[in-house]
Amino acid sequence: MSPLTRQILKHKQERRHALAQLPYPEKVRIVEKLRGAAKKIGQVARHQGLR
Amino acid sequence: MRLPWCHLWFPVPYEFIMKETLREINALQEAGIIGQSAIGGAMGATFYLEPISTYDLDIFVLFESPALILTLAPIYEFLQARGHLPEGDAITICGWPVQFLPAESALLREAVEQAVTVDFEGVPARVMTAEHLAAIAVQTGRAKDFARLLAFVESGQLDAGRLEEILKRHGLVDAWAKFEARYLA
Repeated sequence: MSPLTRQILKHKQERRHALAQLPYPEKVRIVEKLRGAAKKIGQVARHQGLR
Repeated sequence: MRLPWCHLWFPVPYEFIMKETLREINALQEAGIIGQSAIGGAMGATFYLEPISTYDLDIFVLFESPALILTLAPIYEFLQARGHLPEGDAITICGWPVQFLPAESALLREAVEQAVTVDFEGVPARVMTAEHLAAIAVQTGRAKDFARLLAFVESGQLDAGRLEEILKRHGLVDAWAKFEARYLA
């Protein structure tokens, strides 16, 4: 694994920890955002025959 | 230069963020800053499975540089000039953290090369195949990867023959057997 990838994975882990510390309303906002993206991905995937 | 409209109309409706983000990734490729790339990780798996909890979009990129001098600087400079903000090692595009990762193992390189192109409402996007995403989960081998593998198996989305070929090619047959014995027996 390159130093760059190691660094990226470390930052990803730090971001997960930071997200866990967010206030609950902010977490709900993120879930809403994810739901919007996931809904769109689902529509595209079904339309393209990936599901 | 076409700037993303998320800088003009705010807030961006959540369902449009992904499309705008993919457009920006394509702009990177059109500018010759990155070569082939593909969506992987949890967001890639979401093309085949139910939504998986994740907050970043993982884009795996084929780099020409040797591993020791890999740098994401040209990618970030290009995107920052278009108004996107860095966030640690990620960059936030239209409010969405995007992580560019070098496809540095043979399996990741193959997954990028063999990714399928989908039409995301008029925006082309490359997504790793379900079998490659599953093989990467076998290789990575964390608890959350096993949970994703179980979801792939239960979904019936995997082509068993194709997965077997990938596992053999990348020396992952034993790791898969362990997963099978532990979770599918």
